[in-house]
Amino acid sequence: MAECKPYADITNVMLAQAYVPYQRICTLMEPVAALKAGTVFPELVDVYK
Amino acid sequence: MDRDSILKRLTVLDFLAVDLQLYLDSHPDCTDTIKKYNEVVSEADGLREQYENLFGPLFSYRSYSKRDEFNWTDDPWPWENSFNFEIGGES
Amino acid sequence: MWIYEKKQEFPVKIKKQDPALAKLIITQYGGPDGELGASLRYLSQRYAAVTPQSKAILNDIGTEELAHLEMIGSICHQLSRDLDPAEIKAAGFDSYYVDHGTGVYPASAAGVPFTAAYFQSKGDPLTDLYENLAAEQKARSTYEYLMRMTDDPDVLEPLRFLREREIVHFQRFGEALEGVREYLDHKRQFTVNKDMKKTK
Repeated sequence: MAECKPYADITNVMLAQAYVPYQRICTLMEPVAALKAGTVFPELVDVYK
Repeated sequence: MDRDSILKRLTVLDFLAVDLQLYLDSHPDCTDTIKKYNEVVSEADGLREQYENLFGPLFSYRSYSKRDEFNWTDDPWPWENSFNFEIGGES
Repeated sequence: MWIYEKKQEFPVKIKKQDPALAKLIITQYGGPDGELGASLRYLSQRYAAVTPQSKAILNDIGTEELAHLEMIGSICHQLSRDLDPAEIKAAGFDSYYVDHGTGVYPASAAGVPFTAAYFQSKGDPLTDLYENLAAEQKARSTYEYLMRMTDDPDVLEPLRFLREREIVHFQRFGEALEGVREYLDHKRQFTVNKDMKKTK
């Protein structure tokens, strides 16, 4: 089963620019967990300890 | 449902809508997500109406007021401890 | 225009007073990398934006930051409500207290009042978005430093939420940046077809 890649490839690269890949949705979190985490997208969660 | 439960569910749904909406701002053609977003808005709308009927207006000039008193001004206000619910454990 | 909904974006319900912590958290209300600056920055930059998507993102994130401003004000208010002078002095809260009592005032943790010098609206769509990427990182770092200053779960929960929002906002501004680059590139090529895909 193909893994879902949560971002699009970066194309059209130039010098002296910064790039953030476009997000692609894979899954959504459960609603209450999403509120507590601060986002509904698990791939965007960056847990701080 | 008690006030805390309704407010918690409404807060959760509105947050889902906000996060999905920001995603849709940069992905306007993502039809699957639009469908999910509209579903969330629909459920939130229903719950918002329920909350307002039971606990008072959420908007200062768009919500209906109680007839005998302009209850928009009622305490508590959202920055006060007693307005808020405990986020609690997973549920 | 703005409309206020009488509820928080994320609940703020703090049981334990801590004026020393309030003095630190106020920095996300009126400090250099705080929510007031963020909100005014994005809402001011809207006018010079060139793509509908970037206008929407600046508008919507600028609006969300106002909700975050409210959360921070609520945290500071609830942390410092009912205190006596001895507690105030012991907590190092006295210098804030003599100017503002237990009220909420936009200033940094060091007591510097809020200023528009904390943000820029350069009128250049690319520059503005790069500014915003940096702003979201600064805010994230500030939330991390603040989270190290307390163990109180009632405070950590909303701070954790706010920190993650900065990460999401960064992603959205990054996407807006690509959209604006494409738009400016297409403009330069005098293309009429907005669906034209560029390949290298």
